[in-house]
Parts: sequence; structure tokens; C-alpha cells
Amino acid sequence: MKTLGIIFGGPAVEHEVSIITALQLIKHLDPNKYRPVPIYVDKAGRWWTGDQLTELDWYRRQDLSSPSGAEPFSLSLNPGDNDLDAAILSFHGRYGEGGWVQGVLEVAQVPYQGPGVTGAVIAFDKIVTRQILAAEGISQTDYIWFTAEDWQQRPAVVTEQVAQLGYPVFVKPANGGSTIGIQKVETEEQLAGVIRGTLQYDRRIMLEQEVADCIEVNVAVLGLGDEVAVSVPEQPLKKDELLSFADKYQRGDGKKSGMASANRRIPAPISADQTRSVQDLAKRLFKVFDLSGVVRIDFFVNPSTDDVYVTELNTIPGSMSYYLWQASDLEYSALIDRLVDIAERRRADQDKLVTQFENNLLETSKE
Amino acid sequence: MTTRTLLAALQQHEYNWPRFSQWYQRHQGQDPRIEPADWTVKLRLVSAISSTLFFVPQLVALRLALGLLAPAEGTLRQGWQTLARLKLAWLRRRGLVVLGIAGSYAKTSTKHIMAYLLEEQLSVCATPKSINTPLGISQVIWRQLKSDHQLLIIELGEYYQGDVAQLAALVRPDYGVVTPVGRQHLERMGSLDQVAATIGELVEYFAGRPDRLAVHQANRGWFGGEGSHVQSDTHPGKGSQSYVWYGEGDGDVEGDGDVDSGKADGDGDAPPDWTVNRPEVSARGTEFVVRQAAGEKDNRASHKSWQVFTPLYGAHQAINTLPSFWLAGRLGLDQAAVAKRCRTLPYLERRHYPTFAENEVLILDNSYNTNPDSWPASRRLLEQLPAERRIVITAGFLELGDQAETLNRQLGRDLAGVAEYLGLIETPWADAICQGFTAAGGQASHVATAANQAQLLESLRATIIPKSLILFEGGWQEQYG
Repeated sequence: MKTLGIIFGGPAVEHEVSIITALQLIKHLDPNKYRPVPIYVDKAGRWWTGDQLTELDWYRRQDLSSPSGAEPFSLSLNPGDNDLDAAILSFHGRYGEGGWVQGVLEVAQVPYQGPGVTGAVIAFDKIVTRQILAAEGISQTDYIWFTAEDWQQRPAVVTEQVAQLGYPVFVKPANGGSTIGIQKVETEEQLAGVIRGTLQYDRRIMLEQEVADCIEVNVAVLGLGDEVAVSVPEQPLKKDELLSFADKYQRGDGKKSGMASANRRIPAPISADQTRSVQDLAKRLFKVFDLSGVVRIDFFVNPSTDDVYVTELNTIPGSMSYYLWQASDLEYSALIDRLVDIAERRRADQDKLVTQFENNLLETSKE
Repeated sequence: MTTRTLLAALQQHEYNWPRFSQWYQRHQGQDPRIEPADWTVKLRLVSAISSTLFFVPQLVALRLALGLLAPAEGTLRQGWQTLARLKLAWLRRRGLVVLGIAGSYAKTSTKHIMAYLLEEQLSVCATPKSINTPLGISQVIWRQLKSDHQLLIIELGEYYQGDVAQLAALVRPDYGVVTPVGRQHLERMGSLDQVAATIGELVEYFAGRPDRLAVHQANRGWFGGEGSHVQSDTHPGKGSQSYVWYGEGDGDVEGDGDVDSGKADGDGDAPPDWTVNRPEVSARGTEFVVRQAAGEKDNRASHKSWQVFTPLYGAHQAINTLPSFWLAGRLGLDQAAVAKRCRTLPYLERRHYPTFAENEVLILDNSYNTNPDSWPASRRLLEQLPAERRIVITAGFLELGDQAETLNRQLGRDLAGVAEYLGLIETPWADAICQGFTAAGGQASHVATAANQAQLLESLRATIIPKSLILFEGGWQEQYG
């Protein structure tokens, strides 16, 4: 029986999504293999634990900035002091997805699924992601980026850059774990207002060109090092594209019949060749960004031209993208086994690295 | 019955009073509710006139309204047709190409597919929805056809003998496509032979220019010469093998020789000139290879082939793309671009139109129509698409006259092989379908019967599990919705 910490929540706009991801994961844990330890980080950044944290109702009753009734959880930074065989990070957002908690776990030497600090930081930052893609010669949509200072001091320059990029554009905070804060701008008149709003989420902003005739295609990648599996691709369906069975066949609420429209299409409606090329590219990105665990990589695909553009990498995807793995013949409980195995092997690989070097520097140096 | 329902039914029966009366007698006392598919000028006029006759019974008012409209309608139709002819003649001089499509089924699919596949390279005007009557087509030509259009695609309806000839004379197509002849509208056409003869009016139109007519391979028996099942010497196309044939191939996409196609309909038939090969249907869509055989018709020494993917489901939809490849070749367009454009083909309303529901439930709406000849395509889809459970909702085959009982019983047998659950709309032949289903091993407890779709869905709800495939087969929405 392994003691498995599931760490989630955190001061991030994706806080509630993170709770859902974590509770789903706990529900699918094999009780014969794991003793789950829920470790909840509230909106103020305090860490809690307790059996009641596995119930969604508990959160519904709480002020999530100042919950009561749970035990405080202290993670020791001293290696070996924590009673955890491994941890699964179930955060969304910068706090737990962008490298901060990863750093703490590295210091405490608690095994976790990864990616490590490097992968988490570079994949979470949309601007750094784009710069690495450019360095690797991987196709991406055109973009510009700027800081809050750039906008405040030289708005005309930024506006001109956006005009050159061409409307419509998507405005995104550099660090964001979901679609929160992302807005589409159709005209120059809308630009200033949207940028002001986005600057509330981050001081660095990226503007991305819209690409015509593309469909959104996502794949999940699972693994460590070169040993990786890639899921079947999905096509997320936007609200206005949803084809509602309820609308077509029933008057009333389709959900009552259990026949509400899906919000994604699995597998995505692209050819076998395109499916393979997206999957191959996902594998390459997994390596380039030094990723591990389960990640979801989002693309824009033009079915007619074979063009594939990378849009973003999600190092801790919502619901761990379990639905993509189910469609790839890997059930959620087996996915968790793989994540725990990856966490342990990651730690073991790091333990093998040389961290000590015999020398007499201290003896020979003078005060 | 509400006036709207009566108007809708009248429209569905093309304002044919005897057929409408039969429908009325069948549904009297059932209180069906149907909405008119399209509030056309004619329907509005019938509605307006009949509403002024409130002092007579509903049916009498409708009959009188139709009678009052008839003389004006004839004049109106003539006027529209004259305008359409004049405009077409003018645009033809500016280079407009006209293509006419006839057939029992797959006309509308073939038309929409062609319009989409070629519109990247040509300015295309196609008759919308299933508009296929002289008046409807004339109005489209007058109102929607613009001087910069390069291709006009027209669907030629076959409601009665002479219809296709009349439409062909009106639009004078430069190219033609004949989709399969099938047991559709048998009740009003009288016999399959009549159906074939009416569709064959387009074949006859191209008698001197066979290379300008693409004919579905399923029609070999009707228009294929030696293999013809039709013995009448006067039957159009008899003795001619020189049309461009299209259909499913035998999978040999590399060989240059004319390998006899196992899919050809009729002994000793040459394989089609254009074929769909190795169709693979999955939840993504359909992958296939389009092959143009080497042949004299296009002065080609060797075959050509294209690997194609389309999100549409089924080999039958893949075959419906072939006339577009053929026409692209004839018009000097880029066929490789046509192949790529197949990848983004939009789903066709009510022709295996998918809805992706929660829990990976896939709903295929093939409610436009079904007949014993088009049903095998649906059956094949049920076999090919992955699913944990297959549920079919149908009213069976309509308008089959005295063959209704036999053919619907056979449908039941077929369904037992591909579906676990059946939802049957209460029709005179629902029992026959149910009997066929149980006789072939289907479980009687897995059959739900109801008067309308709402009740049927209610009783079937418990049978829907994750990864179910639900097929709505046949045109029951109008008649029984």
C-alpha cells in the first residue's frame, strides 16, 4: 500500500477546476494499492489535509479563502521527513502548474509525476513556449508580446505591432492555466480595453494571430523520457458549434435524457496521416520541453493544407485528460498507476545523478 | 388535425390531392403534428385562401384553395420558366456550365458535395435544399444565379413520368450525373421500371454525348446495355456502354489493367471508370482511394489515384464525391485540390448527420429518407462504426405499395443482424418489421413501438448506454413527427 499525496487547489483562478480534477482522481484510485492523502491548498495559499477533503460537498460549504474544519498540512523541506511515497500534482494555474510547487517538492525530494521545474516553467509561460518553438523550428501562429510597462509607456507602438499582425487577434496573459483571461479582439477600438483587462492577470501579454480554416485538435502525452504514449486526438467543440440532440429531437432539456451534446469529439475528424503527424509532433514537443507525467498539447490543424500549429502545452491538464486515455484504451485507474510509476522513476533517476563532489575546497580556502 | 399540419402534409405530397387524401385517411384521429418544411409562396397562398373559407370544413377549404390557385399557377410557372430560360441562355454565352443530377436517391448529397468541393476553384450556384421542381428551379435561376457564376448544379426531381425530360429541356445541362435508381416513391410511380424510365430521361438527353454523363454503377442493370435488366428496346441507354460509370472498386488501385470489379452489378460488366477503393470507416470519418481507370474516354494511358479522407461517414458518401472528381477533370480543374477539400466536407443535413452526445454516444440522423436500395449503406455503417450498443429508430420503408409488407419484414431481418434495440413508429407495417426482427433472432423485448418520436425516445431512454450508436433511419419525421 502506497501513501499517495494528491495536492491541489492553490491561489489561482483555476482553483475550482483543480478541486474537480483532484476529486475525480481520488475517486478512481485503487484502494488496494493506494492510501490517498488529500492535500488542499486554499485560495490564500494555506495547506490543509483530512478525510473530509475528498468530498465535493465540503468545498461547497466552505469559504475557500479561509476554510475551517480541516487539519493544517505541513510539508517538511527536509528530505525523508514526509510520510508520502509519491505525490500527484492536480493543480491548474501558475501556483501549482508553473513550477512553484514543483520546486518545493524537488527540495523535499518527494516523488511527483512532473514535469520538473524546467518543463513546468517553460511550458506554462506562453511567451517562453513560443520562443522555444521558434528556436526549434516548429510551426506556430504569428504573435507579438509586450509587458505592462511597454503598454503604459508606448501604446502607439504596441497598437501598430498589432495592426501589422492583423485582426482578429487573441489576447492572452503569458501565464494562464485555462481560457480565463483570454479574449478575442476584432478591431483596434476594442484593443485597449481588452489589454487593460488582461493586464489584471499578468504583467506580460501575448497577442496571437487567428489562423483561418483551422480546427482545434488536442492530444495527451503520457510518459517519461523517450518512453511515451500519445492519445487519440480530440476536437474540442465550442458552445456555438455544439450540435444539440435536445434541440434537434426534443423540446426541453437534453440533459434529462442523458443525451446532452458532448463538448468534444473523439477522435478528431482528421485523416490518419494528419493524426499521425500531430501525434509525432506532440512526442517531439514532450522531449523539447523536458516534460513528464501527463500533458495535453493543443494544436490548430488545417485539414486541407496539412498545416499544424502548436498553440499551447498544458502540463497538468484538466481531468488529467482521462477521457483521451479511455479512448486510447487506458482506464483512469491504470493512468494513475502510470503516473505513480513515473513519479518514482523520476525521483530514482534524479537520485542517480551526481550531487556530491569530493574536494578539499573548504580545507584549503582561507577565511 | 391543425391547419398547419394539413398544410405541411399537403406540401410534402407535392399538392397531389389523391395522395394527400390517402395520408389524411391513414392519420385521421391520430392528431399528428407536423410543421411545413418551407413556407413557399404557394403554401402561403393556399393558407391565405383557405383561411378565408372558414365557413366550410377544413379539407374542403384546402381543396377549393388548390382549385382556385391552379389556373394562376400554370401561368405563373410558364412565366418563371421563360425568365429562367432567357437568363440561362444569356449566362451560357458568358461561359456558364450547367450540370443536372437525376436519380432516386443521393441526388441532394451529390449536389451539395459537388458544390462544396468545386467552389474553391469555380464560382458555383446550386439549387438549395432539395428544390427540384420546374418552378423551384426557375426561381433559383432567376433569383440566385449571378453573372459571375461558372457552374450551375441542378437537381432534377422525378415525381411523375416526363418530369426529368421536362427539366432537362428547361435547363439543357452540359453535363449530367445519374445517381442510383431505387425503390423510392414506388407508390406514386407505379413500378421500378417506371422510376428507371423517368430517371432514364436524363440518360436519353445525353444519348449523343455519353462522355458527358456520369452514371452510378448500381444502374448498370438499367442503363448498361447488355447487362440491362430492362428488356424494352425503347428503354433509354440500352446498348450503350459508353457513359462514364462510377461506383465502388475492387480495391486494386495500382494495377493499370481493367480488373473486373466484384462490385459491378451484372455479369461481365466492365469496372467503373471512377471508383472508390478500400473505404475504411471509423469514428473519425472515411478514408478511401479514388481511382480513375485508364481508358479511352479521357484519352489517358494510365490510371490516376488519390488518397482521400472525409469526415462524412460511409463508402456511399465517398462514392458521392466521384462525380466531383470527374467533373473537375472535365473542366480542367485541380483534382488533387478536390481530394484535399474532401477533408473538410460539411455534414449533410439528415443524411447520416452525426450528433456527438455525452458519454461518447453517437447519433446518426438519416431521417431524410430510406428505401430498400439505400438501406444497405446504413446497415454497413452500423456494422463498421465502433459502438457498445446499436439502436435503430425507424418508421420503415414508406411508399412501397403492395411490396411494403414483404420489404419491411426483410428490413426487420436485416436489423436483427446489426442492432440490439429497435424503436418503431406506429405504421401499418411496424408489425412486419418487428416480425422480421424477431424471426432473425432479435429479442421482442428489445422493440419499442410508439405513435411519435417523443414517446419512443422516452421508452428507449433506459437502453442508451455509453458508446451507444443511435441511427434514425428514414423519413418519419414529417409523416409521423
